[in-house]
Formats: sequence, structure tokens, C-alpha cells
Amino acid sequence: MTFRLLSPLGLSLLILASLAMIYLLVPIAVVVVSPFGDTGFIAFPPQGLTLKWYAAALNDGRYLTGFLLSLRLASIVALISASLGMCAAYAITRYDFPGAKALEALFLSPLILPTLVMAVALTAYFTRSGLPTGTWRLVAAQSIICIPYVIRIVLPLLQRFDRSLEEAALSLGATPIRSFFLVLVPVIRPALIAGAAMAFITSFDEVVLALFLSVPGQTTLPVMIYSSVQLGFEPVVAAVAGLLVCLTGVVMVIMHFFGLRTRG
Amino acid sequence: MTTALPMPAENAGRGGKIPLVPVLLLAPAVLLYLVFFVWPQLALLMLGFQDRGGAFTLDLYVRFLSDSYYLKLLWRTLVMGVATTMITILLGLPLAYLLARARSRWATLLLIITTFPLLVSAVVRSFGWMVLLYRNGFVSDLLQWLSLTDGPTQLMYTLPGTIIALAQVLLPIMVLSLYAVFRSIPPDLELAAMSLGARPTTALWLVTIKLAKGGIFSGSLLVFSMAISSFATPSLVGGPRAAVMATSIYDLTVTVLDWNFAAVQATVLLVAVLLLSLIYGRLLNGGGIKT
Amino acid sequence: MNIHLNRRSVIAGMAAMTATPLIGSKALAQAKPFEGRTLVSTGFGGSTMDIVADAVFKPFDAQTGATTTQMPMQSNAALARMIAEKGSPQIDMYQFSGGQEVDAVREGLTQAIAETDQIDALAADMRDPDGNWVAWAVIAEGLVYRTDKFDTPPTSYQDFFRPELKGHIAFPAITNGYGTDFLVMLAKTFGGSEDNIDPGFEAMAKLKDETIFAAASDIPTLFGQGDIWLMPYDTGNTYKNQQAGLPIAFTSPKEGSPAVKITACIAKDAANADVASAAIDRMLSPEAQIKIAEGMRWTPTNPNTKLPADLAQHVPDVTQLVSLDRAKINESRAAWIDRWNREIAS
Repeated sequence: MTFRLLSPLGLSLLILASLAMIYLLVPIAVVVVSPFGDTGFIAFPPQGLTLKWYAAALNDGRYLTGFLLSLRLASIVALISASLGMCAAYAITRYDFPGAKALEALFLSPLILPTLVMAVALTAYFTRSGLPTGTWRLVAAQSIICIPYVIRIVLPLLQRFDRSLEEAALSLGATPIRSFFLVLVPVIRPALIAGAAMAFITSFDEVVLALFLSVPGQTTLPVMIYSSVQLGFEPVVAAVAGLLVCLTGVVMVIMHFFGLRTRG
Repeated sequence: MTTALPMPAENAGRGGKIPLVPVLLLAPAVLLYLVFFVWPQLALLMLGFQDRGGAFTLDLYVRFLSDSYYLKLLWRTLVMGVATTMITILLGLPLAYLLARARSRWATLLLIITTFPLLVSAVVRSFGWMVLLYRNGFVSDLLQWLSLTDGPTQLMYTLPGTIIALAQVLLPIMVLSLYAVFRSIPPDLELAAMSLGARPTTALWLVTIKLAKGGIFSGSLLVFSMAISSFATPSLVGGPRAAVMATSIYDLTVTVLDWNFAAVQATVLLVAVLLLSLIYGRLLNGGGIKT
Repeated sequence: MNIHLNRRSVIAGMAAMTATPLIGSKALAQAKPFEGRTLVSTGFGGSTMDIVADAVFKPFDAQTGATTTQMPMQSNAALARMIAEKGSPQIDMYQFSGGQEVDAVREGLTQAIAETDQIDALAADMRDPDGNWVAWAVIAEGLVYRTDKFDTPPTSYQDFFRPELKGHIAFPAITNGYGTDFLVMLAKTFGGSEDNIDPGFEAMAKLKDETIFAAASDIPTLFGQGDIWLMPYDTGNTYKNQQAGLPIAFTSPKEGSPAVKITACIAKDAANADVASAAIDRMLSPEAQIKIAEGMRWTPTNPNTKLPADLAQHVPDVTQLVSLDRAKINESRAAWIDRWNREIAS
């Protein structure tokens, strides 16, 4: 920090940041805490104390199956999006070619179109095309909506990055690929991790594409949650969400203490 | 629309001597997009130029653009997007900056915690908001306690309620975008500015915020696009009274089954937002878009 | 693709047919006609799907040897997927709760269900004249109210306009089928009908400042924390929320309780149409219908189903329910929603 936290500037930043944290976490606290309530509907503050909703969420194997499926799906999608997105962002910033702006617009479009429109169009397209069915359809579709995050998060870093470093590496005899990994990757690592994380989370929480493109019998966790409230809300669904939050927290704390820092 | 492929002929940018490199780098993503995004989407969006019989017509566009109800819908959608983006910038900048600059290892943990809202399914999350935004909920009580309002305030099923709920779930995206950029700006630059006599506020503004402009632009584009296209939160928290383009498109697609008019609305939304992003990029001095 | 799938399932079927006699048990082969076959159906999510599985699909699978998967999907999204997969469906059988079967038939997405005695026994308005869908349950719509706020239960759709209830009313948007039916019943209450909807809009306009919600997921919070005392909804949700501990009850208004049909149909070109037909017949069996009535208070449609007396008092009989003109409603839906958005929701 280049200034004191207790200076007027530091204090005002600190207050705004704390407000932001509270704002982010209060609704999550409601979701995590309310399933402890004894009532069959969500009440906050919860009335009574019970573990039955959390127990029900843990005991229902389908939530676990859905969770594991979503985890696998999101990992694959994040991997694909991060590699394809980074390559595309690199090409867009490093080479001058006509249509670069159009490409930037293209890579933003999937976020602007409501996913339902994409889902309907893709389902009709896949059905007509006669392409084989399978999980790959969903992976392709979700990668399309996840690549924009990677590109948009990596792009500003690449644009600011000093090309002379790369050129220096090249002039010292490094191949372009070597200079890419030696010089560039360390600099854009935080952005790449952030982009991949966004892609992972987006896929992990995605409902509509999964609803339309999933293979019968493979129900992802968000689809299970989304459709279970069609005919009324059930506290067990909030408990599942609460478990997710707690699990993430625990994993993070463990990683923290074992020094597996994700920091770039 | 935006299908122009990069022409390898005249590129040969400074970094690569072989034009093959950018083509190879772009090929996987562009191919994926052409085959599974552009082509299927165009096929659907073209429905907007057809009547029920399949003949070419602009009637549906005329219907949209000449009806004040739909224009109001578009306006409300854009207002929602802009307001959501502004909230996320206001709160995201300080949070991302402090997290990026803090030397404590706990900062990473806090960064992960900021992404929690994204982990909670939209349905469940809007449920938490319902508890908070209803007229006898927490937010209403807080407003009264702060003497900002006299009686109970109902924010559930209103546009402001939607914006509050949307900004919360999109704030992490802004924080992540900005965090990556702040991490790449050496604190030395601020120190250098201060050693030249700049006050901390000025140094922060002149150096860091200016350098982070690309990140602000990118984060805003992500948040804005997500806000105007998201369906679950406006539908559940906003309800029918705060209908926006995305909820209207949803109703047309699955309830009314009028895919032609849904295509018109989706196209209008896409074009409007791409134009706005172009203007915004220019306003930010070419911020993220190359000049 | 479609041909490929079919060929594969035919080969599998043939293999099963030839393999079983080799084991030497012809009786077993007859007892389990769908050994090795699969059935993919949409399902309503959450506990509803579980109850339907326990009442219908689990015993069906055990008896026939089939393996049934229910894919949780909301009815309207399910119909959109059905349309988009026209010609090569991945889902054999669809369950609908919002009148989507009529659209599905109109769009040519369905095929006839194999006729059985149980289907023949259904009332005429509980099945498609061409056999493309059957209603395997109906849900009674009516008034849902807070028992601690009413000394005497409400009796009529007119009660929504009582001045002392102002600010304590909620109703669903008409993009939700329950909202559409509420609009139609208001029209009927004030001298209109499906063909003359104006009185419905006029009456609803007087309620436009009340709470309007989109989905059933809001009901528990509206009653539990939202200070809502009266809304139009159904027996199923009332029962579910009573179990959750909310002090609410359902009553049929004197203008009549409209019926929401819970239907099933088979996708055209479905790979496992024969299994789906048998499963649908199973849905109509009295034992399945009783289990569904027990679990969810949904009204049986098979006239030969005899509910136990203690259950029957909570489940309105199908003959007491009002059948709305669904064809007319579906045909008018687009115009009504457009008008509703402008007049009521704005």
C-alpha cells in the first residue's frame, strides 16, 4: 500500500470496500442460515433450530451426483475457455488485422443474447445437423458463453503489456513460443486465473443451456435446483446452496494453510 | 453481422513474422464460434425478418420500433444495465484495489469469498433477496432506521429491487476484472508520482485508475452485458411490473411461442448493446478497444 | 441419427428377445416385456418428481424391466425443447402442467398413445380425441387463504375486492397458467367468459396495486413473511405449504374451481414410444392415482379410482371441477399477455 490505511483516502476506500463485502455477503448469509430454521418455508431470522434440511440435502444422492457432474463439466469448460480465450486475446492484441474490432464484438455477443435464445437456436441446429448426441454439445455451448470472460479479463492486461520485453526475448534468440511462456504468461497469470475462475463458475451455475442440451439422465446441479422450485420452494434447495458455499470456504481455507496460493 | 475473418495477407504484426501465427491462434475460438454460435444464431435471428409464412418482411421491426410499450421495455432494460454497472464500479474499484494491494495472505481468501454470490444458484439467491427486500424485510427496516423513509418500503417486485439484486451478483465479476489489472500495475508507479509531489489521491487517480481504464472498460462490458441479458433475477425479484427485454424474450419464446418476434427483440438488444459498447469505448478514450 | 438410434434399440430389443428364451424362462420374458429398454420422460422437479417416481415409474420399471429417467424440466421450457428437437427427439415422453400438450399436438410434435381400457374410460375432456395426450391428474384451483386472518373462509372471487383485504392480496402473472385462469374466472364472475374477457381485465385492473408474482416458488414467502392473506392458487401448493407449517387452507369458490390438467404425451419419432405408452397407462392405474392423491392432493382422472374416505374429503372430485375452454384460452393467450403487460403490469 502506497498510502496509510488510516489516512482520509485510505479510510474512505476501506469503508467503501467493507460496504461492498457486506453487500455481497448478507444475502448469502440469509441463504446459508435460513435452512437451520425449523419451518418448512424460508424465514429470516430462522425460527427454531433444526439440521433436517441440511441432513436431507446431504442424504439425497442426486444432489451429490449433480454436483460431481457439474464439477466435471465446469472443469472441462474452464480449461477449453481459458486456452481458446487466451490464444484469441493474444492474437487480437498482438497482430494488426482488419476485423479485429468485429472480432471483439463477436466475442462479446454471447453475453448479450439471452441464453434461452442461444439454447433454442442451438438445440434446433444440433437436431437438424444430425451430429452425434452427447455431453460435448453442452460443453461446446457453455464454452461459447465462457470464452468472453477470459478474453475480456485478459485483454486489458495484454494491451498494457510492454511489447519490448517480448521483443527483447525474441532478439535474445528465444522462439516466439518460448518468449510467450517465459515473458508473457507470468504477467498475465492473475488475469488468466481470474478468467478461468469466471468460466468455471459460469458453467457451474448455468441452467438454461443445460436444460436444453443435456443428455437424458445427466442432470446438473443447477438444473436440479432450478426445476425443484417449479411447484413451490423447498428449504432443502437453500441447504444445498448453503453447503456449496461452506464447501468452497473450507476448500479455500485448507488450500490457504497448505500454502497452495492461487495468487499470481 | 460480425463474421469477418481476419485477413492474414496484410497483417504481419510487429511480434510475428509469419502471418500463420495469428490465424492459428484465432482459429480454434473463431471456428467454434462460427459453427456453433454465428450460424445457429443467424438462422434463428433471421426469423425476425419473416412472417409466419416465411416470406420476407420488416413488419415485426416496425411493430417493435413504433410501439411505445416496447421502446419503454428497451429503455428500462438499458437503465437497469447502466445502474447495475455503476454500482459495481463504485463498490468494485475500492474493493479490488485494496485486495490487490494488500500484503496479507488473507486477501486471497477474501477475494475468493467475493465470488460466493456466483456460487449460489440464481433461484436461491433471489430467494434470499426476497426475504431482505419485502416490505417488512431487513432493507426496509434499515431504511427506516436511517430515517431515509417514513413507512415500510417495498423493493421486492420493483426495478430498484432488481438492480440491487443484480449488482450484488455481478459485483464479483467487476472485482475479478479489476483485480487482475491492479495486480499488474506496480505500486512503484504511485510512489514515483508521490515522490514527484503528487498527493496520494492524485497519484492514485493519475496513475493507477488511468492505467486500470482498460480493466474498468472490460469489467463494465461484462457486467452490462450480463445485466441486460439475465433472466432469472429480473423475473423473480423484479416480477411482471419490472419486465425487461430478457423476460419479454423468455415469455415470447416459451409461453407465447412467437419465435419470430422474440428474434426481433433479441436482435434489437444485441445491436443496441454493441453500439453502446462502441460509444463507451470511445468515451473512455479508446480504453479497451484498440485505436 | 434417428435411424441409427432406432436401429440400435431394435437390435437391443431383438437381442433381449432372443436371449431371454435361451435362459429358458419364457414366463419371465412375458412378465418383463421391456427388459433392457430405457424410457426418458420429462418430470416436474423437486419432491413432485419423487412422488411421481414412487407412484408410477419405480413400480413400472420393476414390473416391465424398463429403466426410466425423469429429466426435471418446467413445462414451458420442455415444450420449447420439444419444438427445437422436432424430428429427432432425445426425450420420449413429456409431462405438462400448463396446457402445452395442445400446442404440441398443433405443431405436429406428438404421436398417438396406444389405446387401452383405462384411456377409454377417461372423461372426454381428459384425453385428446385423436389419442395424442391424456390427463393423468388434475389440480383444483381456487382460493388459498390465511386461516388466522379469516373468521369465516372466503367463498367467492368477489372476496378479492373486499376493502379490508387491500394490501393483503397476491396473484400470479398471466404468463403463469394460474394467472390466466384467474383472469378467466374474474371475467366469468363479472359476466364475461373466455370469449368476452373484458370484464376480467376490468376487475383485475382494480387489483393492479396488489402483489403480482411470477412463480409458485414465491408462495411460501408471500404467506410466511409477506403479509399476504389471500391469493388464487391450487390444492397441491396449499397442501405442500401446510406441511411446511404455514397456517393456510384451500377452498373452492362458489363460481367453481377450474381444473389444471396434468398431461402426458409421446414425442413423434420417439425411440421408445411403446414403453412410453405402457408407462402412461400405468399412470392411469387406480393404485398410482391414489398414491399421487395422497402425496400431492392431485385429483385422479380415472373414474374407477376410489379414494379412501379420509383422503377424499381433501381432494375435490373431478366431476365438481369447472373445465375452461382451453382451446379458446390458448388461441387468445398472446393477445391477452400483450394487453395484460400494458394494462395491469405497467
